[in-house]
Amino acid sequence: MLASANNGIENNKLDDTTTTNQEWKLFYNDHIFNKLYLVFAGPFPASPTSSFGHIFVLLEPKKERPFLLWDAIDFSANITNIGTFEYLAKGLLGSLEGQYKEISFYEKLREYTLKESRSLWLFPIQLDKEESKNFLFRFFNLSNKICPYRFTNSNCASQIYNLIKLSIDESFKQENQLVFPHTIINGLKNRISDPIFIESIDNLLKENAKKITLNTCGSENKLLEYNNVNDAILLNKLEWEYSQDRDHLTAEEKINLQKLRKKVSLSNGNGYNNFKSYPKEFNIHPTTLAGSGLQISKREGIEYLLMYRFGIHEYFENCNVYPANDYLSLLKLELGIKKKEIKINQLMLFSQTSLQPTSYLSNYLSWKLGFGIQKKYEFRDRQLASGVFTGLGYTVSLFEDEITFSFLINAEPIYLQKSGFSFLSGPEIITLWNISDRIKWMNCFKGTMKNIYNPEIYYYLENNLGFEIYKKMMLLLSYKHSEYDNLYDIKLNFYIN
Amino acid sequence: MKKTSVFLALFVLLSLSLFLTSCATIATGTKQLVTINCNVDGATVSLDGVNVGKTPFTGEIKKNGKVLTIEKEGYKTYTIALSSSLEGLFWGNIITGGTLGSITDFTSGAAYKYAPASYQVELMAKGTSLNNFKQIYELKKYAMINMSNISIDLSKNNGSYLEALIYLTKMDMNKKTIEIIRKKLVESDGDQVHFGNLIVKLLVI
Repeated sequence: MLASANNGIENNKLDDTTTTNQEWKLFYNDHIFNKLYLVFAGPFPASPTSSFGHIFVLLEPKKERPFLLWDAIDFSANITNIGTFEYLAKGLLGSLEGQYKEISFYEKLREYTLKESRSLWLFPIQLDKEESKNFLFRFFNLSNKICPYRFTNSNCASQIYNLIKLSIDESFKQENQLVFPHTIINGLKNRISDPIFIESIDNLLKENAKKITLNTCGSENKLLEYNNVNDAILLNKLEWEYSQDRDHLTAEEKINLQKLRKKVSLSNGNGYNNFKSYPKEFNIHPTTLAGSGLQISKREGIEYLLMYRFGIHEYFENCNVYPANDYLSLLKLELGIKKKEIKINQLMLFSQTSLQPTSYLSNYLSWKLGFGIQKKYEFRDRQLASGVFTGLGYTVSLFEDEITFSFLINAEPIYLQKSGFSFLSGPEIITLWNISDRIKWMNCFKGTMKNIYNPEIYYYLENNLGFEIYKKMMLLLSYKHSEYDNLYDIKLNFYIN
Repeated sequence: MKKTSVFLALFVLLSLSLFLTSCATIATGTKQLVTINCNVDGATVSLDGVNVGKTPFTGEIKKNGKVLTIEKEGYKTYTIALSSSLEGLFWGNIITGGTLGSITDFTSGAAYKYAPASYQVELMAKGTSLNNFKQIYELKKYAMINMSNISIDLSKNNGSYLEALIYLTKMDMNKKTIEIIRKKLVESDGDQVHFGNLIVKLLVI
């Protein structure tokens, strides 16, 4: 029977009365660990609600054990007998039940790197003997209790973060706000070391498929040499494919898998590595960006700009930052100041864009969704549009994702300041080019049809060049062109921790 | 914070309207083809109290079932609450073996998914020690779920998946053991259930 833990994790201090508990002693001896890893699973491209990533903890046991069998500690919602909409509603309101549980690392690895195509980042966290004991004791007390689960502030990230922080410092005030990946990295910066990166299976397959193609080109001997490797790749590819949204395998598919397993086990293919981990730098933007700048318009003169953004990041921000293809803002504000008059150029209360490239393996949709107010530059009379901004399409990439092209069809039911309710639709092509680790170029071409009956057609072109001056400062140069006007922006943005 | 929740709610609901179309093709029909294997053949499979067949079971089962029961004389009756999956919206994703929707407490047995819509149920014989049951369960589950990766590691004669399997069998990691594992995999003809059954026989308890 599960007990209720109304007070979350705050009442679980290690004291003399509890340390004599036999059950705890057994648990402690079984779980005593050398090192703790904070594991960060990247965004799940197929699920908009997973763009924040997922967090769990991995324990490297004191007693040597293969890492696939290490214990992972996870906090997730219990959705037994709950429908999807009920889950979403309860999750937002905080009436879901969440629970800590222990699971073998190979299962988490399979879940994330295979089924959901997510790469993992393992951050070692330094804890001394007493802190490690505190951590285990808190987990021991929570492992069979129910805690409230809320998507925003009582989720995997906040619970795991609070658990680690309280193990280090019992007086830590629990984080009750929205916990972003950056919050955790920053909050544990004195304890955290450089991460180890584990590639997702589809990334491994992509890499190896290229290698095989190159090596087998024009040489029969090479083809024979790599044939065994091909079988291993094919086996891994089928496993990946079947772990995606498949409700069952046909008899033929099952037999093919069985034959392939047997064939691979008897082969001498030593060229395919089905697991890859290596140290990799992890860059993430602070949640807040503030900036100022100038906008020079051919028709309307100079306007001073003030910007504020709260969230993960935007696609014009510098490259090589986690998450690579997902962009999220919970609040975006841009004010234009001209002759003592202050106007809103943009007030987005939510905006998310996912531009995951498709490949021969994965075929994720690209999409964008935002709510708020935006100044529209494509019309002859510049005006504010308020409403919902959506787009759906695909992204393709070149040169190992250094350049991506996104093709979206936009649909925007909005209220225009001067024309009233309108429906805007049309294609948008976004090109993102990571010129270097510090320079990013973004080009956007948009064709807009205003209203379906008596349609008016407009086009709009935007170019942005972002320079990372240093880690917390970015210079953004923009050129915006429409039938009506040409605009030049220069903005200096600062990241605030 | 309340504002954020409201906007997130709107966002999620709107996003779903975009993404449900892809799920709908999967969720058509009210039944789902499933395979339920068990460590004991001939165990009765019941869904919401209605007998649907015996193990090994392959057949169509209604998607909105709530409770699955597997029973056989001499074994503890195993019952699992089924949940609808967030991603799938169909019955096939239910017994996830320890992730969302199920907690394995080993009081009467355990179950896990080893392939799409294919589940392995381990019934606990009355009088079996919990420790032995857990060791067999962990080894068989690992072997069945990771069989393809074990095959790939066998082709290299090393690798993390093979190493973990050998650790669970409590044998030493050497050429002889690797050959024994390879032999079992070949003997199983690449079939996960058969491989799992052969591997547990290697366990040194």
